[in-house]
Amino acid sequence: MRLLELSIVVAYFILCLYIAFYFRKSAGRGEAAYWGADRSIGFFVNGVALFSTLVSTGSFLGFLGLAYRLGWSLTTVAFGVSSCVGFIISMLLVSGPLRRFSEIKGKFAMTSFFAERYNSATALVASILVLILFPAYIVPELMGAGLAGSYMLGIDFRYAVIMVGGVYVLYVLVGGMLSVTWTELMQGFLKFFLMVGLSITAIYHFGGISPLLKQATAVNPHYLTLNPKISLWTYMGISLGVFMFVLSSPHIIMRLFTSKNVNQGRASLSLTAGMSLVFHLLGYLGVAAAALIISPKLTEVDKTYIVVMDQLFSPFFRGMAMAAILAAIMSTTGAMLLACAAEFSNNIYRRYLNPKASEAQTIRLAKTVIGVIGVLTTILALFQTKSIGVIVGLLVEGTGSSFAVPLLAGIWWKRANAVGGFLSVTGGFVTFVIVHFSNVVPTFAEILISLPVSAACMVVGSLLTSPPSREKVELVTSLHRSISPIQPEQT
Amino acid sequence: MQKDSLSKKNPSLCLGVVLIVLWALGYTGLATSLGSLEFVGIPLVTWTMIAIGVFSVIASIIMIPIQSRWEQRWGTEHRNVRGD
Repeated sequence: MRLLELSIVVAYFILCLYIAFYFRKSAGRGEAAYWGADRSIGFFVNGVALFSTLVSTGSFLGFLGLAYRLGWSLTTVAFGVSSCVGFIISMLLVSGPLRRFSEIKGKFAMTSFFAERYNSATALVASILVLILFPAYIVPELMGAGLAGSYMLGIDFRYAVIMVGGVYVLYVLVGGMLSVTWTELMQGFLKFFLMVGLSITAIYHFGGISPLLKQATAVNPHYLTLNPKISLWTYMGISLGVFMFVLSSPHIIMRLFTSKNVNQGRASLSLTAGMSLVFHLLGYLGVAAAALIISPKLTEVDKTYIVVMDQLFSPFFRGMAMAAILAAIMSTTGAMLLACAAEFSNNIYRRYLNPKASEAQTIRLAKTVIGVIGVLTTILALFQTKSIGVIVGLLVEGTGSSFAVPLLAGIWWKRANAVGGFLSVTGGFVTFVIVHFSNVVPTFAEILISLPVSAACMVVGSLLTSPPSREKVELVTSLHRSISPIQPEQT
Repeated sequence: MQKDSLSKKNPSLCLGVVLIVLWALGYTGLATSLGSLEFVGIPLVTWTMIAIGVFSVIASIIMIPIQSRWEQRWGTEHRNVRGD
């Protein structure tokens, strides 16, 4: 057991819990505080927190493993650039209107937008999908905690999973969105600097960028080039999946509701996009190349980061890197857990089971949901064995296939109606599942079929049925109208 | 009625469409002979995609005040059109 590294990890856990209990009182003020952090988050904090929300175990361990095995060009194009452009498209087309929606309607979940814009059936289907997809996403994340804990700290896989599961559930439960946001700020810094820092360390260690890449390409000739073993459809499918996930995943959308105002929300997304680009391009370039040199025959590619940092970092930085890996796990799982609780309590419990529920009752139920999903996912993670990158990649695509089209159409197309919204959500998801299990296209290319089907369902369903009511059209208009008064010109 | 259009000269929508088209065009490079061209050992397609990413971040920062002004102006015009 490595005591210094373990001490740093324990200190990181204590800091997470301190932040949660610090915000406990503020989070208890009501739903706006618990779900939306009172819409008080500035662009810098929100930008780093958004970056942290995106960079999960998938990015920190799984996709880095794909860079090791399949080449840096794939991960650069598919994850780095696609997530960057996805955030910018979100900033341009989604963030402003949804931030206004939250203020006008007092809602904090993406499916609440579906309920108001389309109908409650569309929102119910979307909520059920979130409650299926997100816990399935959390399981491999926690499995990453077990892998990292057992390899780096020398503790049992199961104990590492339980330890991380316990801490992240507690800080989400106690502090809600405020706690999630401020822990994500810390986690975002940790992840960014320890990935980019390890890459720079590797470049320095191997005598510069050219010698490093020369040795890496000697091991894997396709490290920098486009890998001919990978189908063109896979390249395009992963990229489109990441793009649509960033644009429309409910746990990322929830963050947009927390910004102080529309412009701060937009600025935060620009910051996130820039951080994501540098993280995936520069970070992956050095770390995956160093792993090829240090361990050319690595079979468990999810350990790419761990192998390199174990070799190149001092014990202190190893402890910090370990905290960064756990941060990658906890930030995404925390945000997803909160999104699950918001979906269930607001769009199922309050809409169908107890419409007269008070804010306090709803939050109490949400905390129960957080506890139940947290425990279940932790137990399931103990028995998970598949590659993190593959599972996360598929869930990313399933989410994008279901939500991207109804979200964009709901904001920008006044003719989109409830039938189109319902068909688009269900059609996109069902097609994704059918295409995946029928193996008609390569893995990760499913979204190339399911997304156009979702769009076709939206168009056909909307045009063949009656237009939306005047109130719905007026809602769309109000999303694009600046709420604040016109500022006088500076002279 | 024309002023009621959400898409009329909307700067964010214009930039968004341009970026999506550029991003999609970058992928067409993968399917053509451009996919085999390289610069310092890295495919031109990869360089192109990186350039699109950098451009999108810079353009988005410039776009924030421009879009804000458009929304204020559009909001005022829209209220006038509806006779609010």
